[in-house]
Parts: sequence; structure tokens; C-alpha cells
Amino acid sequence: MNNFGVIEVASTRTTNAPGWAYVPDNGPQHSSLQQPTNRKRARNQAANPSHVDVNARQEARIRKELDVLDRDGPRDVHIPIPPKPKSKDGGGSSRAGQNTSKSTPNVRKILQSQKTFANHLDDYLALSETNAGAAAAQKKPETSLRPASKSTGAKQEDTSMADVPAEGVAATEDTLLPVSDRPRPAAHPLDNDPLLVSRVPPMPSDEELRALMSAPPLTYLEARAGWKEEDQKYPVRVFCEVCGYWGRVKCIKCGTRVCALECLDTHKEECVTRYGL
Amino acid sequence: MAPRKSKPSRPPPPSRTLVLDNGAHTLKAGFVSPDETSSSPPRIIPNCIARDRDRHTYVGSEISQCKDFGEIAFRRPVEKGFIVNWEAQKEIWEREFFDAKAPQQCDPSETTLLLAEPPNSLPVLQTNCDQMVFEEFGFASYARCNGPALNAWHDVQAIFRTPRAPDMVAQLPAEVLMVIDSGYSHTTVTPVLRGRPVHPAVRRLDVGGKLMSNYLTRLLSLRHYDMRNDPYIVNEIKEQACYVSLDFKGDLERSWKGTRGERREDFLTGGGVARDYVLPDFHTRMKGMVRNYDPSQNSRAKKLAAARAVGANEDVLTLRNERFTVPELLFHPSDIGMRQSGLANLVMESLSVLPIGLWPGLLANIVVVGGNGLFDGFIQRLQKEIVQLVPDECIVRVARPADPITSTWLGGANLAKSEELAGLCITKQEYEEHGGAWVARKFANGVGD
Repeated sequence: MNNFGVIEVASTRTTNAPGWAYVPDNGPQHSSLQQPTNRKRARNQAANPSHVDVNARQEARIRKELDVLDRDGPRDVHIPIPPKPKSKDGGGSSRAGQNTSKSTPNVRKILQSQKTFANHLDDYLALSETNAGAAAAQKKPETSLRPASKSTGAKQEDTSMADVPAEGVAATEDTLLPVSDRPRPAAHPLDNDPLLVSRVPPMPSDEELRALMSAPPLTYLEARAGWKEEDQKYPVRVFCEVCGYWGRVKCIKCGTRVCALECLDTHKEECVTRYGL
Repeated sequence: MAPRKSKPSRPPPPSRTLVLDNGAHTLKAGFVSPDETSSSPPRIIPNCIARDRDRHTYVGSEISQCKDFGEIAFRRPVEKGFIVNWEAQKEIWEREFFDAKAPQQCDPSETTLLLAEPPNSLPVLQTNCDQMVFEEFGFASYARCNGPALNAWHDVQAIFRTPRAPDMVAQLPAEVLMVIDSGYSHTTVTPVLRGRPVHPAVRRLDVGGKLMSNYLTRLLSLRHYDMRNDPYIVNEIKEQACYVSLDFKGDLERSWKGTRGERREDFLTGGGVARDYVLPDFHTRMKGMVRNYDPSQNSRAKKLAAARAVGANEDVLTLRNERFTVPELLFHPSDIGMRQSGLANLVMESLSVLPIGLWPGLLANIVVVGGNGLFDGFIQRLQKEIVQLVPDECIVRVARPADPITSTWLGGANLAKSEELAGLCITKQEYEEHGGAWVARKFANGVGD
């Protein structure tokens, strides 16, 4: 029997009227207890904002809001490049004139490209994926069939890597982090006191450091900050959408967080216009 | 291809170097010659093409002629820190550097270009950049360097005011350094050893000045006036009024109005948090202004009366928790639902890939650069949060240079004055001889990169 979250409790006092109480509705496990048989109902209940704090709908809303925050301007404006002032053309024609006639196909392509950063990133991801696939596919036949002419591509890379002067990695100094040549501070009688002695972790060896320094840069997405266990140690803070104080109360209708009754009233006006009564 | 000579005689590199920190919000540009001992500060040029209400367009530094910043719209060639739209970027560079009447005129064929780029760029964007520099502008030689790593070319210990013997001379680049570069597009954490970034430990948080300005726009539009078409004014408000709270809970409590019918004491008096921001109208008042919250003007009727009495017609925004919840995004990006770790955790994430022997050195030398470093309390808050995360024995020192915005440029200028620049640069002949892929590899494992 589905009684809409109202559970009868037996009271000690006997009254004619049936006793009942509102019980706190603690999260999603409650809804799964009820086991709806209807598929449609199951779907709707899963998306019911009163059960899960961040559900699909809210997730989508957050993503949309983040996209808006990430945009450069409030609206999409296209500002064309203004024409150069006439007076400048006379003086600077030596350069300006040259450029228009001399620009190489590469440059023309770059200048005419209307790609945004997101386009470039997508291209890059697609390219690296196909490359990875191709490399995996190529590797097998090459190693088994003809190890002698072991892929011209790899060879090229090797030679050209050597070609690039190694002055970067094998810097002129002998060690990457030389030991300080400053005089050590004067000895103190309590230097060996176990309570005062400070433990300094050993420095990594030079080879270790060199390996670290010669590692290639991460890709754009790899360098992005993650969402680690450390960050999930505390629950995500929620704020009142009206005034910015802690979001202690949730609107029953849409799940928006507000701080208290006053802000809830303000929110409800908006909520009614958006979702109806 | 003809067989290469054993060592092609290199022409002497041009003595003049254009050091360019091509930020998303502002360009920092200036010329450096090795014989100069002290360099003049760089010019700071807005890196945008702007259009005001009257549909007048300003390119780069022309915006200083603009009188009315209401409803101004910007087009920026740099997206996420990388030069994406070369059409616009070329226009700005030409007007600033190459045209006959450019304010910083230079002849690229006799100039070395030292260009700072953010870490973890896309290869295609780097290639585009190399091609434009050599094929379109024709610089004689060019070095593309990791921007944060350039900050090692400072007397870092002077920033921390480390006491030292009077005869000690600072050696450049600094040995160990952790650079936190918090700019317009993002915030990056880069450990730097001897002027070179440790690539596997570079981390990026996608919170920067742009996101914070947009967030402030949203808050103000919800609570006060619709500011969505005034990015310039919102940015001014952010720069002048926002701060990083050292006691977030307390400040939030102090700025709360209370529940229905209740008005808290702190809310009425401002509680030390509230400030009034007088909006510019671009007729009588060209600049917005922050002033202390005036409780007597709180009620609307009084406000009107006061306006009539003074005769001045001013629009005032009362800023309360907007002042500190906006920069708070750097430390808690999850406040707006971003699934990324905050800045202190990001530093730990970066350290976790490094051998533990490097931790003490890095933690004791954390330098914050970039415009967000100017927020009040940013340094103290970051230090406080990192101290809570690292082992007790570690000394944590966080500092910012005198001017965090031009710090990267100044580091680049110091590099340009040293002999190491020659080893970093690629000349035009080398580019034409070896091609773009060689150049890309050379920059990928060069000294300064």
C-alpha cells in the first residue's frame, strides 16, 4: 500500500482517532523500499527531487549554469575587426601591404579559422583516440613480421629527438639541485635531543630528478584538477539561492535550497510562475 | 633535402627582445636589451576588442579613450589562456607593435620574441602560434616559454623576506619554487626546479577571474540590478570590493538578515562586512566607488529623502556576502557544483606525484602570481589551508610579489637579459630548415620550458 510517506505509528494512548505522524524521509533507500511495480512510476520517483539531493535534473541544471559561467560574455556578440584608420595605411603600408600579398597558406588557414577552444579540444581528443587505435593496430604486425625496418615513424622520432640538442635535460650543471655550500649553523648541545631533532625526508637522487624533469607535459585534460576522495570527505556545501546564506530548507516543489521562511516566500513567487501551483 | 652542415654559422641573435606575456585579459609587453641593468615596467594592454553602446570599436589600448563603459561588449582572442582567434590577436599585435604609429613600435626581423604560454596547451594551438610568429610576423628568433616557470627568474627569497647574509647574491633561476598562477581563465599549480616546470605535477583548476566575474554578475542580477550587460562594471566591483574570507562561517553569519520578521544586529549595522558600492553613471561619475555601509540609508524612504536632499542621483549597491562568496570559489569550487578540488587540495594533488624529499622545499616557497593574487586575504587563507593539510614538520610560506600581475613578465625580462635565452630561441632560419614539428619538440624539452 502506498500511503505517500505517511506511516502509522502505534501510540501508547488509546484514542479513537488513528494516530499518525510525519517521519523524516531519509534519502533514496526509502523510495526503493516501496518497490513500485509500474515502470513509469519507478522512473518518475527516481527523478523526484525530494528523494535524491542531486538527481539528473539538477545535475543538468548545474552543468548548464556552469557553462553559462564559463562563457566570456553575457551574450554571443560578434565584433568585427574595425578597419584601420586611413592615416596609418600610408605610413605602415610597408608591412601591411606585404602581409596581405605574402601570407602563406598556413597563415591564411589560421586567420580564417573560426574554431573555438572547445572545437580544438574536441579535435585533439578525437585525434589522440584515433592515433592510439592506429598505434595499437600497427604494433602487432610490425613486431612480429619485420623487426628490421621497425616502423619508420619511430625511427624518425628517435633521430630527431637526438637532433634536438639535449642541453635542456642534461643541463650544464652536474646535478640538478646542487648541495648548498653555505656553512652549516653552529652545533648546539641539544642537537641530538630526540625531542628537538627534526626529520627531513631524504632528497631524491639525481637520476630520479632527471627522470621527473624529462617527463613530457600532461595533456590539457590530464592536468585538470580532479574530484578526489580528499574533496569528498566533507559534504558539498549548499547555499540559499536567494540571499546566499546556508541553504537549510528545500523547496518541496523544485528542490531549490533557501535559508529560511522569508527567502522561501521570495522563492515561491518565482517557483509558482515557473512551475505553477 | 640537402645534407646539413655540421654546424651552421648562426647569425648573432638580435639584441632587442620583446617579452610578451599574452594573458587572456591583459597583454604585458616590453622591450629588453641585455645591456640594460634595470628594466622599465611593461605596458599593460587590455587584450580585447571592445564595442560600446554607440557601436564604437576599440582595439587593445585604445580602450583608454573610451568614456562610457556601460553595456560594453568584449571580444577576446585568448580563450582558456591560449591564443585561439588569431584574426583578432593579429589585429591587436599589429596595432600595438608593428604599425607605423604603434605605441611600442618594433621591427620583428630585428627582434627576438619571448612569449609566455600557459602549461598544458594543445599541440595544434602551439603549432598555430609558431607558424604565425615566423610566417606572418617574421620574428628573427623566438622562444615560447612556460609562463609560470618564468617566475623562477626572480629573487624569490626577497619576496619571502628570508633573512640572509649581506654578501649573498641571489642566483637565478631560483632552485625550488611552487608557482600558483591565478589568472583570468584558470588557476594553475606548477612546481619549478631551476627554472623548469615539473610537468607531471602541473595541475589546473578551471576557476579564474572570468568565472568569478560571471558568478558575481549572476548574484548581483538576482539580488539587485540586472548587470548582465555590464561586464566592465562587474569586474570593477569584483576588483575593488571582493576579498577572501579568513573566517567564512563567521562572515556568512554576520551578513545574514535573519529569518522572517527578524533583523539581526549585524545585518543592520553592516557587521563589518557590508559595503556600499556607488555605481558609475558615466556622466558625472566615471568610476565606481566602494564606501562603508551607511545603515541610515538602509530603508528605501530614507534613501530617497537623502537623494533629494543632496540633489545627487546616485545608484548604490549594498554588497554583503557577495564580497567573499565569489573568491571563495577558488577554495571551494563545489559551491557552484563544480566537481574539482579547491586550491589547497590542488597543491596537495600536485605534491603527491613528487618524491617526498622535494616537499619541504616546495612548500616553503609558494609564490602566488596573477591578478587574483590581489584579493585581500588570499595569501593568508591559502597558507592557513595548506598548513592544515601537510605534515606538521613542514614549513609553509606563501607570498606574492609586489605586483603579481607583471611578475611573469619581469621574470621573462630577467631571463631575456641572461645568456640562457640564446639556448632557448629558435631562429627563423632554423624554423625554415627543420620545420614546425622540430620546433615544437625543441620547445617541449627546452631549458626554460
